[in-house]
Amino acid sequence: MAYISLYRKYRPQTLEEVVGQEHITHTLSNAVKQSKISHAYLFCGPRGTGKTSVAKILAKVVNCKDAPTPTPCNKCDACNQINNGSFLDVLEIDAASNRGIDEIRDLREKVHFSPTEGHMKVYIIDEVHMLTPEAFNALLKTLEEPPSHVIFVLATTEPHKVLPTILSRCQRFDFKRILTSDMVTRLLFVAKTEDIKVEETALPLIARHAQGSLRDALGTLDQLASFTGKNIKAQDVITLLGMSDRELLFDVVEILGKEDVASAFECIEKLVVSGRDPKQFAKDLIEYVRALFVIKNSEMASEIINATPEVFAKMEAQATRFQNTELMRFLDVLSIAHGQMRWNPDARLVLEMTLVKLTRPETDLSMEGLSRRVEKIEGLVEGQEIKTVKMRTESSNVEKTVEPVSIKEKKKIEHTHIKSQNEHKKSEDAEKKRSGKSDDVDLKSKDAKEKKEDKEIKRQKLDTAGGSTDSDRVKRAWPIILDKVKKKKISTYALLLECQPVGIEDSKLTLKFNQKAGFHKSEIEKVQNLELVRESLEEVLGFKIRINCVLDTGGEPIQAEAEKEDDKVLDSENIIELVQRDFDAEITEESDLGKE
Amino acid sequence: MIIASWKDILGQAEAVNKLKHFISSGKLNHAYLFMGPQSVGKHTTAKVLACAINCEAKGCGKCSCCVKITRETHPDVIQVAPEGNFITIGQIREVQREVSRKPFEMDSKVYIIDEVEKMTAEAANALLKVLEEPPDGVVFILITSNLEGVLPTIVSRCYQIYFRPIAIDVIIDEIVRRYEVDKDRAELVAKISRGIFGNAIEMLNSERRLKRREFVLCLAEKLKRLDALGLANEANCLTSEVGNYIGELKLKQEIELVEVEEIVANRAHAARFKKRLIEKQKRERGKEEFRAFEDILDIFSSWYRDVLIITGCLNEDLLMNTDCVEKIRIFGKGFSLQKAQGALEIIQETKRMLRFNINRQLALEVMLFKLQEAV
Repeated sequence: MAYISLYRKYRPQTLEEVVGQEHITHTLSNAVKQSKISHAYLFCGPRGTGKTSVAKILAKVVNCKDAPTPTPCNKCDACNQINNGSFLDVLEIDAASNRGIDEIRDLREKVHFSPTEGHMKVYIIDEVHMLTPEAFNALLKTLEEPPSHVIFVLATTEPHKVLPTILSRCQRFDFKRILTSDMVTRLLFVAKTEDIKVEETALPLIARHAQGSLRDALGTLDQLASFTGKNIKAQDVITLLGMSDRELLFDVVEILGKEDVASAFECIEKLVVSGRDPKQFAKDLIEYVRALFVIKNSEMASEIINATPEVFAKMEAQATRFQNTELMRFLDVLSIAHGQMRWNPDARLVLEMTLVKLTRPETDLSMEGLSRRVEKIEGLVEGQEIKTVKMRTESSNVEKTVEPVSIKEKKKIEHTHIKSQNEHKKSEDAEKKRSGKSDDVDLKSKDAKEKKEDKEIKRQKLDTAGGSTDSDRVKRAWPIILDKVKKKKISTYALLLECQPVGIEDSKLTLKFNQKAGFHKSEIEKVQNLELVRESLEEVLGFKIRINCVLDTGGEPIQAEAEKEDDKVLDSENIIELVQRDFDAEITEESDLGKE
Repeated sequence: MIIASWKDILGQAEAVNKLKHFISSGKLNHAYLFMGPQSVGKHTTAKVLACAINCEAKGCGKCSCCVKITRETHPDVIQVAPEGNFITIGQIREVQREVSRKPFEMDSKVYIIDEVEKMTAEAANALLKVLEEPPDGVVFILITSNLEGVLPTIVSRCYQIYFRPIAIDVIIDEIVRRYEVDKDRAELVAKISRGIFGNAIEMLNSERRLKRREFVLCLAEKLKRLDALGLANEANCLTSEVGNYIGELKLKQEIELVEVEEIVANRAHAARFKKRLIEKQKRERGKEEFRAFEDILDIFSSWYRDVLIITGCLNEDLLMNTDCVEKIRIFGKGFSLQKAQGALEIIQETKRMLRFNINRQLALEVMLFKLQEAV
């Protein structure tokens, strides 16, 4: 049983060897140089970042034969004895098993004895968070003013469990998670010394999986070395750690994007048949989606995410296909599922339900699911023209024509007539959804096609249907046209406010200006303004049209025929009808007033 | 059946190969963590590994050493398991005391700690130091089915060995080989087992579970047509079935108790021993009852899961209940993904509630009513 695992073998023996904790090693070695060593230290930080190792090095620093020195020799008796744990004056106490007040009382009694061999007595109290409150309190006085030959080093992963009165008596050093790059350098060093061949891409995988803990990383390296006979490839890492490779994850996210339930089920089946753990898979998927999220939102993504350039490019392309909210929803649902898998032994079922939720937002009744559905509808509305239903007054035929209306313009004219359009729009969305295929990308291209077709249809109609219907359209689209003009030139817009379109005759649009707006009329008739209005008209209506400006003379208005008819002298019946309509009135009594 | 060699471990080729490698290359670490679902062979593998460490022929399965280990009587293979609901700090302290003593027979000692996630926080922390740097020749094998419940500082000190659900094909082959049943039946059992071999065997051998399954599937099918009274009746049937089972178990346990009492009657600590046994039996009954209810819910979810599959992708190869494909197909007509998902969520929620101290019959009834409403 001579074999010692790498993480024990390669414990750092000097301050320089400690990886990724420069802020601590620097401070300590400077303190030693200036002989300002404190009597109590608290080392805290996540597992495998070097707390206990630094504590042991510190013991050597003060007990080496030429102590105090920031670079202990590791050759003298004291150093050697400390290294194999037999030095009498370095007491490594496991606070987790000696956690009671009695053990601390024992410590207090012995603390006053001078060191037997070395210069200083070093108490390393590991896992100090497990001391009972009584024990902590018993330690307080000693910790504050220990004899001059004593140094306390407390080490813990959970500093929040340590009493504040203890914290304030110690110099606190927070160990950071070790950076992937630092870890890779160290792993490379160990691999070289141990004569292990490692593929270049394998090391970042190991480092990333270790999540900042060098012990984990070295453990993995050790296992890999004996598993593969000292020739490690990236694929071995993936197998050993049970990580799902990126290819598979890429495919699954593709499936989610395509909302393809059937493939999702088949994918899980494959996963389970091959003996993969659904829980581990969920975890990997979370990490992958997070990576997509980072890639989408950070410019430094290539530094944060560990991936070969090809894989990274692929992921980048994939990330652009999803929206942030969508990725967030994936993460939310997956995290909940991962939490559920903790207590639910049937991880496969949970995974299946989750993928159904992700592929089909309509089965996800959470806020995120609903918002995704709303977003989809919004996307459809924005990407597509709004189809209007046009009622032909002459015949009761319903004819569809299309006005290109963007979402912002839509809001402006909401009150006038868009409501009916919207309803129509919604029902169409629903139809689309029912028919299943609703890939965003597909839709957009489809929209573009529809747009073209619609325009053609419109042109044909212009030829056949003649003026009257077009003038209706111009009137309805007038607010949109105004808006277009407003965007282009606000002064022209102001001029246009004084006029109303009345109708189209001989493919000429007549604009009627208010009686007192002669100035406006003459301004509009200037070439640049006229050109601008014509442009906007063409954009909205889809065909070219000339403009004829007239002034409202008050007496005999120049109007389209249809309107003229309306303006005919109203007889009594019409008056009643109008009153009823405008005032919501009812006829309660009829009497013959007209003849009186 | 005594299992003492690598080849008897079913469907865990990856874990077995890895461990064999460690043994043959002489690079045995001092701490391993076996993790994976329940009853897929973790404990068996731990014992086989202990044999390989202790036996001169590296796990022959025949020598006295191996036999002792499989019978759990070897003095240098020490097993630690929860006493009551937890592994206590007392148990770990005992490990710490014992660990530095020399082994009795060969030159190594193996500690197998089962259900590591059930260690109390104190116990887990107390284990840390000895787990990181144990004396020479000591190997720790930690076993867990719930990695999240284990302290990260413990996990980081061990080499992790993953155990996975066993591939369905392997289970089918093994069942056919071992029990000589026809392939269809083996396939059904294997698929229902979700890759847990223990489940499959139980399903195959226990008449009771098969009947329960039939009953539940039948109930799931006719659920919509039942009125409130009928529904309550069915729920009652289910609970009383579980009750009967537990009753029978209790009877068996009482007989065992009497037998044991006779044996230990004249020895010291007889009363204490008896008390412990009674407590253990009570725990066992509680566990069985829980498992029975969970089983009922699992059968329910298997039904709706199949409905989900059939509405979602129409691929009948993926179904779990391979014996009632036709029924599921009919049931699935007019069913939407949403509905099936809703039903599954109701069942999962009930399953979660089951872990707490609730009235189980009531929970079952509530679930049935909710299901009826949802579908």
